[in-house]
Amino acid sequence: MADRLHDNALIAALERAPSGGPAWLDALRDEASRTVRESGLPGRKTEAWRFTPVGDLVALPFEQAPAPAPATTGRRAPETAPGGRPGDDGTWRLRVEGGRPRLDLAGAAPAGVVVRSIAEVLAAPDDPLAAPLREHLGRLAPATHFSALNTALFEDGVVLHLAKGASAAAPVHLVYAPASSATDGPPTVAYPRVLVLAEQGSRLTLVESFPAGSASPDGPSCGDEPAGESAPRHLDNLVTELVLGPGARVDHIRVHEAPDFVISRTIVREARDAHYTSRVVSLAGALMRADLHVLLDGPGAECELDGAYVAGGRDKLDHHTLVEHRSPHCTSRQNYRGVLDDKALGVFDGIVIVHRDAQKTEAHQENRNLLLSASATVHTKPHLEIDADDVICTHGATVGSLDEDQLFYLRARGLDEATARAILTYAFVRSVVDDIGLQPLRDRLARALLHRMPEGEALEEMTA
Amino acid sequence: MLKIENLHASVGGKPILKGVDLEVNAGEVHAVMGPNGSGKSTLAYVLSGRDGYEVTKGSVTYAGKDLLAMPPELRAAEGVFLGFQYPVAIPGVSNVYFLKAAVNAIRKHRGEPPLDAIEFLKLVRERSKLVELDPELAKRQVNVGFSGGEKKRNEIFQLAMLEPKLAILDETDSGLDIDALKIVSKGVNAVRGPERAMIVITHYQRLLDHIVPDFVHVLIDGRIVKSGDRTLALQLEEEGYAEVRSEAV
Repeated sequence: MADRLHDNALIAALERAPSGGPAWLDALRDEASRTVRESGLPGRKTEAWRFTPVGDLVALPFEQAPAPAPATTGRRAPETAPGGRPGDDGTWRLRVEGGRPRLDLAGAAPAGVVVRSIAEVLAAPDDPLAAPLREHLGRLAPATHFSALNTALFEDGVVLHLAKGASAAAPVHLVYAPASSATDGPPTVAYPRVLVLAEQGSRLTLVESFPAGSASPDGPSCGDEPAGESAPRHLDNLVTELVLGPGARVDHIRVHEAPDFVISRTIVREARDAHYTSRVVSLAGALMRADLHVLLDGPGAECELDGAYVAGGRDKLDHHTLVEHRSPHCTSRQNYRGVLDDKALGVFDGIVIVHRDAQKTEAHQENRNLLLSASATVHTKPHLEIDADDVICTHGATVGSLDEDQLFYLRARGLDEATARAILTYAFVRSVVDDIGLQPLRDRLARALLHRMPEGEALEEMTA
Repeated sequence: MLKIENLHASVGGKPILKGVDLEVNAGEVHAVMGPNGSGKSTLAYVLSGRDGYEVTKGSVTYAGKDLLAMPPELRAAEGVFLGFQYPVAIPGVSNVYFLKAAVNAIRKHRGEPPLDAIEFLKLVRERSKLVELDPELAKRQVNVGFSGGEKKRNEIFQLAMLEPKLAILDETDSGLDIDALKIVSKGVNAVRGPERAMIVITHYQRLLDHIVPDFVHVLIDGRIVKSGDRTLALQLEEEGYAEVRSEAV
């Protein structure tokens, strides 16, 4: 077939797919290549991508991001180096440029967690992480479409390993950015890849962010620039896999502030009594599509998936969740809140599958949306498939505008209409950010969220 | 302070107020009583500027200005306060956060500097005592999970914080047991003063045992059909609204 979904720069790049890695990886890449060549990129006829307009993407002549200029290898740069310094939000930052972790720019990783480059581990068959990498990379769920492209084409990435009972001394913060040389020239694509191995009883906070000023090593700004001012030129196609051993706990925070294209797939497998929380905060994106797939694979496993998206201009923010209850006594809770203004598009598509043996499942799913403009669009599709009979499941979705009673109450107390609207809009989405345990990051995100509100700055001043 | 003349108002095209006349001076407490559906709450909403309440005729002059021309927030800034019959819960907004924004918006209108955090919290502690409102409650989200009594105490607490010139209390007694009623009334009485006028809207005379009015008006079918002193309320309690209605015809 010679349509654009099969014939485009992203798929053409499969000709130059890396090979010569370990045999298992070559086999994995071949299979992924075959999958995506056959299916092509997903278009409007692919159910799960029906509301995700990939048209702008497939038309662009993407080139894979070149390797960043090698820094002094083998030596850690001083703590003050850009990208590797301890963040002002209390996290240990590792810049991932064009898909490559800049460990050369980062200081020592926090105690309790081993942070390695995937390429480095692959190059050393004796590496202690070589076997776990082989066991888990790309094995949690079949690769499809964009995640298959990533599997076929990624050149490097990050492995995080927490040994049994280990606790990371500081949150690990992966900051995704185009390679610094990619500020002009053709549009670039990067395939960052992350594998987290959290063994029994270990504990990690992982932050992944796509900052607004992604070309600048100074990291995220407040995100108050409207998206879509200049044509987006960069695509990050990310796959993050997390394997949680028995009783492990991972708190995962994802922040989307980049005005470019971000397509990501996160796959989580939880063993018995593991606990996974995901807080996704999406504030910009020409096309931001985040798929989150959680496999509850042992009794007593729990997950909480929360998201807040605030879209303005022509942002397209698209969140898909899939939670599979595959064991009894597991609990999942989902709460996504969206605010859509101007001509923005928001999507929430959530599926909960309760497999036959997953008795005593408790699953809750809620998506609420606030439309601030008649030209904004939201598609919400909560969905349950239940094959067990002894379960408690709830789901619901709402799309609405601000509550007139609340608005009048605030105005009758002296707040002007614009401020009252801003307060209520902020209140609608803030709970997701308020639940982030890491205070400096929470404060920064609360500010970023506030700045995305109409009249947000006045609001901050008034209540400071 | 407030002069209502021949006020007609409709809701959804249906006439509710059909010629209300009322004059309220500084320092006075006026009770407006009436049966269900007589237009009591409509009068409160028209005076505070709620959307959907259309004034078709008449005028309301407040401190020499045309009250009806002002948006709700300007009325509040000029010193008009509505105590809601059904205070609204606002999840995600803390009482303190919201009140600070409100207090400082009104101070700004008056040309006063904003209160800083310390001054504001001092005022919160002082005024929350008037209605025996737990200061911890003030930190919670606006009216979320509050009992009926807590909601009404919160309204009077806000009144005490915002220091209006004209307070309109819409059925502040509804849903209160006798103990809560006493606490709320005590709070209202504590903020009575020669500069402040009040319109107390109620269905029952019970409230007026605790908040003693200077004048009582009976509103029936969108018109004030009788006015008097507090003995009128007692007479209503004895005879019911039907008697007054028939007298007025």
